Amino acid sequence: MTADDLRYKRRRPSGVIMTALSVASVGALALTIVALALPFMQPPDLSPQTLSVVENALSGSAIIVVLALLGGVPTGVLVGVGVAEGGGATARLARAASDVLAAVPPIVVGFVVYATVVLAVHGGSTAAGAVAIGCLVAPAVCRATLEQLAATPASLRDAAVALGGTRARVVAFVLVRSIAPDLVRAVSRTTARAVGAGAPLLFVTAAVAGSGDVADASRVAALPTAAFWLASAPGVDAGARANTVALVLVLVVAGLGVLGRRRRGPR
Amino acid sequence: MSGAAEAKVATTSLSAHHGAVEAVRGVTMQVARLEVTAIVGPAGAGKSTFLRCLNRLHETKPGARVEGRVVIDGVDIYHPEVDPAALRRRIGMVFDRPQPLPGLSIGENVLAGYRLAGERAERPDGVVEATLRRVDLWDEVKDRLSRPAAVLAAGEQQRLCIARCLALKPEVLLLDEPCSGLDPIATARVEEVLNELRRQLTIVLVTQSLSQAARVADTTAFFHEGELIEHDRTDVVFRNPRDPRTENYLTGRFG
Repeated sequence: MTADDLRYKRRRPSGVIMTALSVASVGALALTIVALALPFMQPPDLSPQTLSVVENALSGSAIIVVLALLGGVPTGVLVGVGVAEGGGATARLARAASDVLAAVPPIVVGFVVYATVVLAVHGGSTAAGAVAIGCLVAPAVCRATLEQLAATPASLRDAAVALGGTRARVVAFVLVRSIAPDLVRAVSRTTARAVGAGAPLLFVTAAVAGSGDVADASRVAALPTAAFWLASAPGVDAGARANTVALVLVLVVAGLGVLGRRRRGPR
Repeated sequence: MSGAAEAKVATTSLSAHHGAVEAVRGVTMQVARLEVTAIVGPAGAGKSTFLRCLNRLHETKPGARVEGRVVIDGVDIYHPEVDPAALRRRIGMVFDRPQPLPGLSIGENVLAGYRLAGERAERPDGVVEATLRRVDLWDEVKDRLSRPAAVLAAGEQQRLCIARCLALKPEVLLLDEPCSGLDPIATARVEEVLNELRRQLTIVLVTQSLSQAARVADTTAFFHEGELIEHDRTDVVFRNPRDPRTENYLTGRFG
């Protein structure tokens, strides 16, 4: 048995105890929240009308998030690679900008997109929602790209360069490929955050979503905004319908969160 | 070096810098064609830096600088008209830690050099089989060529890395302590491969293992503090070193 094996064997019981404590504390927190919220909760409403709202909100969220990912992920990866590989003032500026943007509260992003996009086109839209969510996705992906590239061993780059690869090919075929699984996980986590980001969407889709029935397919409805509008709407059923939408939102976010924490196998 | 065979690689007053640090100091040395040349010396002697100058890998590090000449087959490889990427396909290099390219299967790893050059191998399956046979890996992996290269043991990965270089048909193979992380059995397998390749390729082997240099190399060069102290036939260097520093190192008085 090696020294590492011995060390691992010695540390294993404390690891199990710490894991159990972590699970117990999270469980206690969850139970407390449920116990506090239960008296105010209404059972989910599974009527056809509510399911129609959920369907509309789900498809709205899907469209907004897919559009945001289509714009935000390539932008984030390209900027991340450019900053990591490039040098000079531009790279430093881009790194600083991505750091600042990643730390900006979502509501501020919503306000900026409202001021620049919604007011410019005189109305909220799916595209405006996608821009807002894309502004959250791109800096997060950029930071993930930077972190993963920094963690890539120099020997991997050397091995690829020594095979006669040009810099661009080494970056595209080796470095980005090597960090791809980590990027996918980062995108999953970011998507989970984006799906649940209600604040920016309330700003940029407010012009239409707040104007009428969220079940109407012509309206811009996403899961968090639908839950918000339903919860604030008058009527006994609204709370139950909001709960249903919120439940779907929690399940989607939890599913994406689990997806983003998959273990990696040998590559 | 006494009794030198025809030189494949020749360096003249080669110096290499990492920023302000001069890691290699004015090395003039000839590497004989189709022979194995071992480079030994204590840590920090400039062995790996010297090796990286032979395929222009040193210059890819920020702050790195090279002075002097490196001539391969009569061509100065630091001439502005020499394409470093094309040069590196002719001068294969294997590193101390096996570095299979992630996300690629065993077969794809063998062909990685073509992919990085934006080319396609003629009869790729044939190239994969022939190359893996040269490193005695074919029988071990022929049924799992599409599996990730990371599933291989360290010794197998290192032979895969050698195969990856051989697939590009290099003229020179540079090995930077290729067995440093391997057990004696895996080391023996790599050395068997080197013995098979020794009459087909010019090989430069950096090693910390004096016994490996004695087993494998035709000639041995001793580096110390960035300088080439001595370079001669391996038996001469080990049995009758000219310089007291070489003798001190070989007898374990330092290093």
